[in-house]
Amino acid sequence: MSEIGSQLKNGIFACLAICAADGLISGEEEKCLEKEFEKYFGIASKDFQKIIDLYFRSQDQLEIFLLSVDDVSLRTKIIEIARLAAAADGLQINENIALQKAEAFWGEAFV
Amino acid sequence: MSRLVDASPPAKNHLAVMSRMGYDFNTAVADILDNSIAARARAINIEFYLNGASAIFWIEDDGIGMSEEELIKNMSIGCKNADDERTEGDLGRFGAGLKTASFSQADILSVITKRADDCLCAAVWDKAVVAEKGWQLEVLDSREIDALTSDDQRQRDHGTIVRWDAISVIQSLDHSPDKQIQIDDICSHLHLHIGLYFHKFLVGNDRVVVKINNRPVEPIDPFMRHIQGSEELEDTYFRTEKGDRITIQGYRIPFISKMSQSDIDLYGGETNIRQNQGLYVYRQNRLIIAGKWMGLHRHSNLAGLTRIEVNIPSSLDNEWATDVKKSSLQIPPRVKQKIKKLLAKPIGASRKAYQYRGDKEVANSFWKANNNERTKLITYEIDPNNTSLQKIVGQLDAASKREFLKYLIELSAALPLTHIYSTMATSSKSIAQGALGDDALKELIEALKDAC
Repeated sequence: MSEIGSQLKNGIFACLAICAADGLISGEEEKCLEKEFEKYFGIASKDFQKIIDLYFRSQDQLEIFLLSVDDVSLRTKIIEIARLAAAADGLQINENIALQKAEAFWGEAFV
Repeated sequence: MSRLVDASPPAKNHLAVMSRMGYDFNTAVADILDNSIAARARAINIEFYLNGASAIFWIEDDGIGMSEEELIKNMSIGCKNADDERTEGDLGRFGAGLKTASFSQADILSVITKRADDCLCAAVWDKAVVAEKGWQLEVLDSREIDALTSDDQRQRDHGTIVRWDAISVIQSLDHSPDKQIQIDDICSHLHLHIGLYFHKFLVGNDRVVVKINNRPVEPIDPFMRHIQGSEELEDTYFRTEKGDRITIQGYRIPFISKMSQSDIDLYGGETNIRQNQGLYVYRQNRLIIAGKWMGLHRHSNLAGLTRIEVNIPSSLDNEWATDVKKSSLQIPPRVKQKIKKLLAKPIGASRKAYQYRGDKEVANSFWKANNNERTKLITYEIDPNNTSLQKIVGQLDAASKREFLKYLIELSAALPLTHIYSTMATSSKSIAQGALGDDALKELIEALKDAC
C-alpha cells in the first residue's frame, strides 16, 4: 500500500469519483477498475480495496483529486481507465459529464 | 408578532393515534424481536396463552438486558434519533417500535429486564393510566415484579421480558373456546411470519432459537435453496456515496411440479408461490419487503419463478425511507434504475423456463402457437403438417380442398379463447376435453349425414 504513490492514489480516487457521479459505484465498475489498475500498475486486490475505503472516507471532490495528478502520461491512462469503468454498466449522463470535466480540467489534449 | 401556543395533544388522543400505526399482530411481534436480536439474544421464547378469561402474551429473550435507567429511557416514546447511525446488528430505527407495536395490540405493556450483575427492574405503560394521568410510566417495585414473573424467570442472569395484557384481538371475543381458537390461529400465522422474515437469523452457527409456545420456529427460505431445481442467478452489488454495499442476487425457484406437497403447503400453496415473485429486501439481514416488484416490473405469470434478494445496510434508512414498522421502504430513483437494468436477466431466465414448458404443453399435433416477436402477438392455428389432415386434404379435389381449407382457417380464427379462459379461471376442473369420446364422434357423423 505504501508503495502506491500519491499521484496514482489520487488518480484512482478520480476514477472512483467519475464512476460515482451517478450516485452509485456498481460492482461492474469496481471490478473493472480493480482489473485495469492491477494490469497497468500492478495494484493488488487488497490494496485496491483499501484505496476504495480511503475514497469513501474522503470528503474531497473530483477537482481536488484531479489537481493532485501532474504526470501527463498518468492523466491519459486515468481518463482511459475511468471511461472504460464508467461504461462497464452503461455510461450514465452524470458520469459522462464528470469524464468531460476531468478531460477539460487536465487540458485540451483530452477534449 | 407571532406567538407560540402549546398545542400538544392530550395523552389519550396521542395514544389512540399511536395505536393505529397500521401494525398487525405479526408485524408488531416482529418489531419486538428486532429489539431482542439487537440485544444479542440467542434464545427467544414466545408464550401466548389464556389465563382465565384474558390472554397473556410475552416474549422472553436472553439478551444483554437493561439497567433501570436504560429501561426508563427506552420506554419513552421516540427514544432514539432516526438520523443517528445504527451500529451493525441494531435493527431499530426510531426508538418507537416497542411502544407503538405494543399499543397497537394490547392495553398494557410491561417490560421486565435484567443486566448481568444488576438488579431486576420493570416498567409498565398502561393505556388507562396514560388516559387519566398523561405520560406517566409506572416503575415497579420488587414485590410487583415478583407478581409478574415466575421464580425461573427471576433467576436468569440477564435478558428481557416484554409482556402484553388486555390484548385487543382476544378481548373482543366473548367465549373462551373462541379465544383459544384465535390464539392458536395467531400462533400458527406467527410461526410462518417469523420463519420467513427472520429466516437468516434462524440458521447457521450463530443462529437464534425462537420458540412459540415451546415449538421451535423453522426458517422459511423464500428462494427455496433447499429444494432441487432452484437456481442462483447473477449477483452484483453497488456502493453508495457512503461506501456501503447494496448486494443483489437473483434466484429462479423450482417449478411447483418439482416441489413436494409439504413444501407447497409451507410456501402458502400454488397461487401464493406464483404471486410471491419479485424483490425480497433485507435490512441488516431482516426481511422488510417480501415479494413485490415495487414498480420495477409488472407482476406476470412469466416472471413467477423470479425472486431477487436485495440486501441494504441500515445506514441507508433515511435514503430508503424505511418507516416506523420497518415494513415498507422506497427505493431511491438512481438505485431503482440500476436494479431495473439488472432484472432483465433473471426475469428472462424465468420467462424462458415458462415458455419452454408452454411449448411442450400447448402445442400438440393438431395446433400450433405462433409467437410473433415483431408484432408481439400470439395466434393459435391448426397445424397444416398434421398427418391425418394431410391425408384427408390429399383425397379432396381442388374445389373441395379450397372450401375445406377456408373452413379450417375460419375455425382457427373462431377459437373461443375468451370463453375457454374464463371457464378455466372459474371452474377449470369441470373442463374434460379428453373425455370427448366415440359418442361425440357418432353425433358429429350423424349431423354431417343430415346436412348432406
